[in-house]
Amino acid sequence: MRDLTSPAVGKTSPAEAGSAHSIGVAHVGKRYRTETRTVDAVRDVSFVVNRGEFVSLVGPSGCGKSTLLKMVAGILPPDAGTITVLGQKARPGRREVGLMFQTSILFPWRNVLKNVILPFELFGENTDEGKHKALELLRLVGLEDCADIYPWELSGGMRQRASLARLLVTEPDILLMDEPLAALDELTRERLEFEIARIQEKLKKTALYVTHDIKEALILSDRIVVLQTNPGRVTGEVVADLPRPRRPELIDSDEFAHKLKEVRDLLRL
Amino acid sequence: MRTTSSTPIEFETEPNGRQLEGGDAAYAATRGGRYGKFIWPVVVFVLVVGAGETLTRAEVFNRFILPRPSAIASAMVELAGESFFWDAVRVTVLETTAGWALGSIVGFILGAAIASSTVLRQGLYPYVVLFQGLPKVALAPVFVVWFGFGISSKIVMAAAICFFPLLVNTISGLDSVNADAKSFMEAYGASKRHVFMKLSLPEALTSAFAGLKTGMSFALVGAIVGEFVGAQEGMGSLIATFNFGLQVDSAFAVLVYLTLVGLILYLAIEWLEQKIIFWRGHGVA
Repeated sequence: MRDLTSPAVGKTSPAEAGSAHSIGVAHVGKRYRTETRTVDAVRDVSFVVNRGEFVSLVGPSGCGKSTLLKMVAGILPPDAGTITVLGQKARPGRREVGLMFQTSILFPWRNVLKNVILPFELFGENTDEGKHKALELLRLVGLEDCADIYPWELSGGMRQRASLARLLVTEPDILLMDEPLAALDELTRERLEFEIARIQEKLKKTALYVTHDIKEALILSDRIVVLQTNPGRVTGEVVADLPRPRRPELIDSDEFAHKLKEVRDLLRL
Repeated sequence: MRTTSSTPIEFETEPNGRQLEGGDAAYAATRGGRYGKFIWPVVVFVLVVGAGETLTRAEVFNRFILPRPSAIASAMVELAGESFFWDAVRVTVLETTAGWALGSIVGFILGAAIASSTVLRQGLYPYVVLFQGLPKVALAPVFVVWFGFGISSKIVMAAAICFFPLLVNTISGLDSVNADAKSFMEAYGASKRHVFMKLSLPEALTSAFAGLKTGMSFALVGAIVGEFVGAQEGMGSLIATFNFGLQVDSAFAVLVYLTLVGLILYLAIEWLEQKIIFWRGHGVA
């Protein structure tokens, strides 16, 4: 097991990072043109995500964190800079990448199981083998009894659990998550935060996680990249070297409060 | 944080909500209770038919203008025993459903084409809208010239009148495809065909059914108008024949049956929709 308490995976600039990192974002810029003006969604953003590391992008609305995630997913091209994923230029349809969004994106005409195996269909793979894996993951997220029911019969939290199962079903090395818990009520959100932490400690994936919730970022991450608006830019990084496994008691600890302040200070810049 | 303040409020609102429901029920009870929705329509029916019967018996209305309800009823019974009547029903239902099917297929394909191609949208859609400006029933005489006095001219008439609602609903269904779901699929490398088959089509089908229902009512109009313009068979032609022979009670009897035919066809699609679009009311989320 990797020693997550030591900050060995600390601040690495893209220039000095070798092949160790899984995601490399270097001097990336993205511009949106409206009718009246052009807006720099992000300008000269650089950061890396190392192998097996859980990194959160934290910042206020409009700091371009979702834009960055879309660019890493390869569905939005950057206007400047380069993005590499596992050594190759970011592009969609990578077998090694899994996605999760703020809305669960479950199709109402498919039952939960059929929704979870959708990535296999999109990759043009055999879904029979996928079903096995899907059922296993539904068990992991606590939805083993829900395989045959339809998404509209699930609560918001259960929908995101199903979405989490779909994220993991293809066994991706890299997880890209865009505010997956933002639409949930606080109690459900906190339960799922620790559940994702538990799953991450078990599977040790490389993850890029977008959120505006500092507490959530601290519960989940190994490292937090803090962004600011106008233009969207990186203002700093915080190594979240809090003990693992992450447990609910962590929130009340002094070191958690200390880290929380560290991120807050960076957000105020 | 938020939970501590919001939880007690939720507890307060719940009983209030129930009280409101109870209040609604009490209100409804004073106006006929739970059987009101069955009783009141019957009351209205009895009053209107009774008034009609009284007025026609008192010869306020000439029986050639407004036949007695009892005469219409006996004409209905009489017609039900005639094979020529059931032949007419069969012809009209065939014209309507065949025209509806034809118009719907054309409307759906045209709608899908317009929605998925910018060239077709810009080149074709203005003319489709222009065509919609034309009252389609005005084409009935032309269709008789083109397709003859048989059922084919009525099928074409029904199709021409019912394709537009489906076309519009197909376009709007395909246009409003969930953008997040689309980019999610694209991130997983979905082809255009994947997105269409697995996302756009089922979503479009949901809104297409609204067009299919309106289209069926339209198709019946088309079939009847087609028959009025020139036909030897069908319910519309039967109405024209009875009117011509001053058998107004029989003409009204056919009208009542025609209403039932329209209703049954509508309910049939409604049933089909519930079977096919079993997720109705729930979108991608």
